[in-house]
Amino acid sequence: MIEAMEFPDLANQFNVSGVPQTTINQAVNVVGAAPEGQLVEQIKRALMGE
Amino acid sequence: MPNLLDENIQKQVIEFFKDLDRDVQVEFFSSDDSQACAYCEETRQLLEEVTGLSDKLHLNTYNLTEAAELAKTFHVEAAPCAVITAREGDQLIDYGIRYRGIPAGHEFTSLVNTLLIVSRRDSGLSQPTRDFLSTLEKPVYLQVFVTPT
Repeated sequence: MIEAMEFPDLANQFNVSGVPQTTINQAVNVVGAAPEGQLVEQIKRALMGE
Repeated sequence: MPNLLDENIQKQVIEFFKDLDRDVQVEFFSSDDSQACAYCEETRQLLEEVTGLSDKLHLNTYNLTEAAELAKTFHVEAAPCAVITAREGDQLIDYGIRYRGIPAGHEFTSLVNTLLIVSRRDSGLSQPTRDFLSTLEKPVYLQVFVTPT
């Protein structure tokens, strides 16, 4: 967990505009709540893009 | 400073903590510099109050500058940062969980849940998710950005 207001540089680096935002391997952003199944799919996507 | 957790919240958390199982160690890295770390003291107090609600929860607080070596082993770069680990005797098991910044507001619930999950040594994830995760060949880095409100 990263509190965006206390770490504005990190929030800027990963283009945080709404919370929660989950950034996977510093590459794929999931904005909004990420239910388990959806998060798994996004992790797969992030790994395929590497 | 007055208590951050009022009596009502304390009661609810104590009720929730009845399901705690094994020991949890919170390693908290703080900073004396109130300019650089506006919420360090408040975060420390919050963690102290929460971990004080069960004898299975333990808190160590370090100054990030003084404990630079230890911070490095936990990959802690900046304060405030709480590392939530499983404690087995003298050993700490690091599941990679970090709280950077104050877990206030909604995130207080996340913190309490995290303590429970680590204490039970069970993520609560579904079997298909566990099967997928067991195929990972290297660590996956998740950063969840939140705000306290």
